[in-house]
Amino acid sequence: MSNTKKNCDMHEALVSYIYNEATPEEGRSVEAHLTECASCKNELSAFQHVRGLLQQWQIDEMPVVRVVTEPRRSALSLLKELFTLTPIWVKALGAVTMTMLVLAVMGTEVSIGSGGFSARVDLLDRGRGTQPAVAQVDTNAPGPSNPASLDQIRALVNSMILDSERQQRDDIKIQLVGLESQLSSMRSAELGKLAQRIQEHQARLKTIERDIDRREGLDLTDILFSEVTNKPAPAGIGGQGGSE
Amino acid sequence: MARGDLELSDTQIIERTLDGEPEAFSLLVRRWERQIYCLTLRMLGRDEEAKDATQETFLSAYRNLSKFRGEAKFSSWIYRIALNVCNTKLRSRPKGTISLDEQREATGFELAADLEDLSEGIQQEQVAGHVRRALSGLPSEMRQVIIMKEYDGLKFSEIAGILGIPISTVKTRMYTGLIELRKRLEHLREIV
Repeated sequence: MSNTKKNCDMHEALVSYIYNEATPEEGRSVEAHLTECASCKNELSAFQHVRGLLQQWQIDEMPVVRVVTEPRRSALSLLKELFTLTPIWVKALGAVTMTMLVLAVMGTEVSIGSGGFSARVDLLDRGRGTQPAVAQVDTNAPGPSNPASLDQIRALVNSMILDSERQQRDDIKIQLVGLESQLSSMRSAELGKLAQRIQEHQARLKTIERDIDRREGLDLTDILFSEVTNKPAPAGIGGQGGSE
Repeated sequence: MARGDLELSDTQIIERTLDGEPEAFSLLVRRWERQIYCLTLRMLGRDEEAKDATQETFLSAYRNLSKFRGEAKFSSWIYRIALNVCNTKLRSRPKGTISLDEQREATGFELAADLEDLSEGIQQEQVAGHVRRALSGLPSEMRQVIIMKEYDGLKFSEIAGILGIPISTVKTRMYTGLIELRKRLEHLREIV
């Protein structure tokens, strides 16, 4: 008696069987089932046909895949690159900000006024009140020590930026001078080598010229000699002609 | 490329790439680009989109190379990336859009209905067109299983590993996919 499709629970086994992935036991079970189930047998045949059709779609062409790979960089190298590309004024501003931040953490108070410049550091000793903990500098005695206004801080920052820029320019100048002297010494060394090579070439040229002259001289002598020996001597010159 | 480079395993190439030799990755590209392109073309059915997907797959693999732990094979890992790229592209397709090839088939260059009279080469091309359309009509989860099984010859366990699903689910999808394809390719019963 043949099973109807509804009763078959062979889907997974059938798929494994088609693709040669069935276990021996599974394979035997499928084969036994196929002998009595026409529906599954037809299905198997249809699947084989579908597989044949699928294989008709073959791809011949190949795309050119170009993956632009960049070197993997560490966080430190990225930071270095960022620092190199950053303009000088940003570096200076960053330095000032960092300094102010450090000073703020240390509890430093800075005041600039008509009374002069005063600074107080309250590092890890915040409970002491108004007494200066570490140092106090008062450059000018007369007048009250007023807190610095925004304009004064700005002027201070600007002057620090200018100083930093000046420092950078000086450094660049020093580097340029060094490079220039390096270049000059390299150039003179190269020129020396070049002059030496020119002299060598000239010497070789002279040797060749002398050689050519010597060969040409020999040839001319040969030619002259052969002309003299082959040419019949005119009458009256030499004893042989006269004797004939 | 040195002769010895060709003998390096995928894992060795990855190690070299991660050790600061990014050009070593091109060996992996050359080794796997054909399989990945074929996979994406069969998944997407559109040439240009498949080329883009192949590029994106390798780019994504390169960017995430440090996440590759070597527990699975590189091929499984890159197949998974490629399928994710394809599924993203399929999801982002506006409804009702058809490719140039599909337009061409729809207007004037339709696939021949009677294939028996055609020469063998043209017949194969025509059958391939029918197959491509039939596959494109399948749900993505069935299509990817059929493609990996039929064209890449992967085992059911490997497909299950790539997709992160049980083997029985892979077989069920395969079975349902074959049933669907059988219906869609019914008119080619006499061919092949």
